[in-house]
Amino acid sequence: MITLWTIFACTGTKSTSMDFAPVYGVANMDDDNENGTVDWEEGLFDTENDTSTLVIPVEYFAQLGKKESLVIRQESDGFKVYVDGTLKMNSAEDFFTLGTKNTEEDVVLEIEMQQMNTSGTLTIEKQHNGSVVDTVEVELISVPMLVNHHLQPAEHVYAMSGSGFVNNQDFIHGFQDALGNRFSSFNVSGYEWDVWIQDELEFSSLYSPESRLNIVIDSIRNRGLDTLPENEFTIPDYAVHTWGRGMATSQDSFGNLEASPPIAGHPYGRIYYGEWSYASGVDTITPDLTSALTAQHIQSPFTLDVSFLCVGHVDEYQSFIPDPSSPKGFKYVLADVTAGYEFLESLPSSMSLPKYTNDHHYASVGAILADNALRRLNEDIQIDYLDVTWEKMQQELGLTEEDVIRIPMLFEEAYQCGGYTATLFPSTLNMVVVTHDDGASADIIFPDPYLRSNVQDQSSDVFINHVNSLLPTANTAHWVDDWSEYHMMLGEVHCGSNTLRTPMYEPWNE
Amino acid sequence: MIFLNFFVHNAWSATDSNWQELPLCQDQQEICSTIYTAQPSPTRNPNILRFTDPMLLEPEWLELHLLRLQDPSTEEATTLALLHLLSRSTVSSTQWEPTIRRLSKDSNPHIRAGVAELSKYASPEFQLEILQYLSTDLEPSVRASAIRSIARIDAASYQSILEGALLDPDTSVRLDAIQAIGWNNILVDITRLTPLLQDTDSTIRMHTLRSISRVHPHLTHEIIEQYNLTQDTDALVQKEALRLEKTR
Repeated sequence: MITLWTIFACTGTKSTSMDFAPVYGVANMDDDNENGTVDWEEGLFDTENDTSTLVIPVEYFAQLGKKESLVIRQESDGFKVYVDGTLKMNSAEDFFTLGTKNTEEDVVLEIEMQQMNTSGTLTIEKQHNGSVVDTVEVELISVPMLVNHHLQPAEHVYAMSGSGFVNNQDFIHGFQDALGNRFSSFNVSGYEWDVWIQDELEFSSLYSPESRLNIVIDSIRNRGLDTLPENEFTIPDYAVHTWGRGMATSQDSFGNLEASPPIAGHPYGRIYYGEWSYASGVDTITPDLTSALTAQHIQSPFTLDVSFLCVGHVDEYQSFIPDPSSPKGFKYVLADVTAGYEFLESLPSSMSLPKYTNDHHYASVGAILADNALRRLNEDIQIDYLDVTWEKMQQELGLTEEDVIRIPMLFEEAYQCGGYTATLFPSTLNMVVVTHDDGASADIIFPDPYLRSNVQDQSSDVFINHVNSLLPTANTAHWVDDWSEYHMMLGEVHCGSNTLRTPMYEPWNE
Repeated sequence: MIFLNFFVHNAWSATDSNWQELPLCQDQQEICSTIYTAQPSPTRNPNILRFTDPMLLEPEWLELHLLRLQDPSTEEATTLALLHLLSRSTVSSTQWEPTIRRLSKDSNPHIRAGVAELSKYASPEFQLEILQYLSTDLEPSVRASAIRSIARIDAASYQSILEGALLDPDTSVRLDAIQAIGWNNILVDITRLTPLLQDTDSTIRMHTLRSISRVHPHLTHEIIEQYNLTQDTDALVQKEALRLEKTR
């Protein structure tokens, strides 16, 4: 608690109250001088940029009496205090003299923090002949880690690129055409042809008024991309960290970890992730990570039931997109099979679907509509999972009908997946939201649905035209081919990419 | 094209490199080697591997795939990926049915389940033979796969198999059977369905009610009352009963 403290100068002039706002900072987990040592483990150096500043103004010293001094004492471990680059305190009960009446300029403290989402205290003591006559406390707050949401500006989009065993150049060119220099790729041949970069790492942020540090949450998934976070993001202002160990389930992949945009009571949105239930248990993200996310408090995670899905990730059937014309500033987009059948029934049943003929065994729109078992399967999914998801989103995020866009979609049993499903069309919901700097508009990359007879002519695709008409005008759609290397491999454009976003600062304790 | 359907499965050895002796490969050994040794990639579900190279789908390579399916050294994941490849193939199923028939007796239940799934894309005669056979497999996962395949073909022709599966000791088989009946509106007598309303598994109870509402819609309300399903011990069964009551 901060107490007000009034100092009366010997001359009897009006006193200056000492009052210090909390000092926010980021955990110094990165390696800014790239010497292989976490910065917290060593002293300050020229390129260090993760300390926070506490200024003791010279006016406070000017009002001290002859035998008086200001002494600062550290009450908590996990912090370091420097003056002019020299370490002065680094553990509880350390102290040093800040100055006396003779101090002629501001005393500037640099404060370094060890762990995220912690707090501590410095006590400034007014001493007279070595005895404490009064104190004021300064709160130190190491900011929590925040998972990024889709209203944060997208700084860069990454994907894996290959032209051999994996050949996804149409996919890569689609991203390049849409994003230009906001997109780059890594060579997939160096990572066992593992294209699912969304699943291996999650960009999150530590952000204070003075510092920013990107935390790359490295999944325990550990497939071909296992070493990519360390190889590519062990650089200044990035820290790679893994929570958990051991056997991973599909739910440990980060297509199954998302954050909503800001809502009332949650200015950074809320984290949501999927749980996959089976007879004897539940698979979900490793408890070490979910506990860490829950401990950050601000984004209050909640879960969704993804048990109908073969892969089982929340990004397969829902997302959020900017919409400044909406009351909340965004729209929630959700797969809807009723809308899916309504859409198909609006098409000529004779319309051929060359892409779907061999790969999904539906040669025409009519063939899909004639499959009654497929329709019943989809009705079950709507009742048991999609409607339930919507109810949960309303309950947890306060969403209403005006917040949702229902995207036509159908599901089918994924081959060799024990009856569990994946989307029949390339999932429109598995989109890449490349938000602009204003946070209110975006380039959105969707997988090409190929719901047309002429596969070469995207402009003839009625589904594309329909979805484009549903989108808020602030967003620009780009439709990218991901059929062979992604859709037929049970993923889409979001699964095959990852987006670094700019954190948005808000006062932490309000 | 020579079709090696006389080849005995158990006597084959990969080290024999018999693919090299195929007339198909006489003048294109390198390509044949590439095809024969191609490896599937993990999908987003790491337990499922698939081939992504569209060249493998070309009909001329079918012979190689069938040979590889009969190779005892072919790994399970590759075998399953080859079965998926066949499901996408444009060739007539009669060209691969003999090989797949042999695989229906494979010692590996995952492969037998894969055969059951592939049968959906076979000729009706083959479907009947294989699905009847595999619906009585000792392994529950194989029986379930057969039932799920039945659900997606001319299910009404398999009514007796589905009715028998309602009594299966395995939960997943019973569930797949009750769903198959509801999805296909198969007119199974109500007396065969109602016992599952007292199944120990609540998911089965819920789906049984749903299937009854599809097959015997005029009996739904009576059934809900008779079995007091709005007061079932499980919330999902209650929810389904209430949902159906609202749609009366």
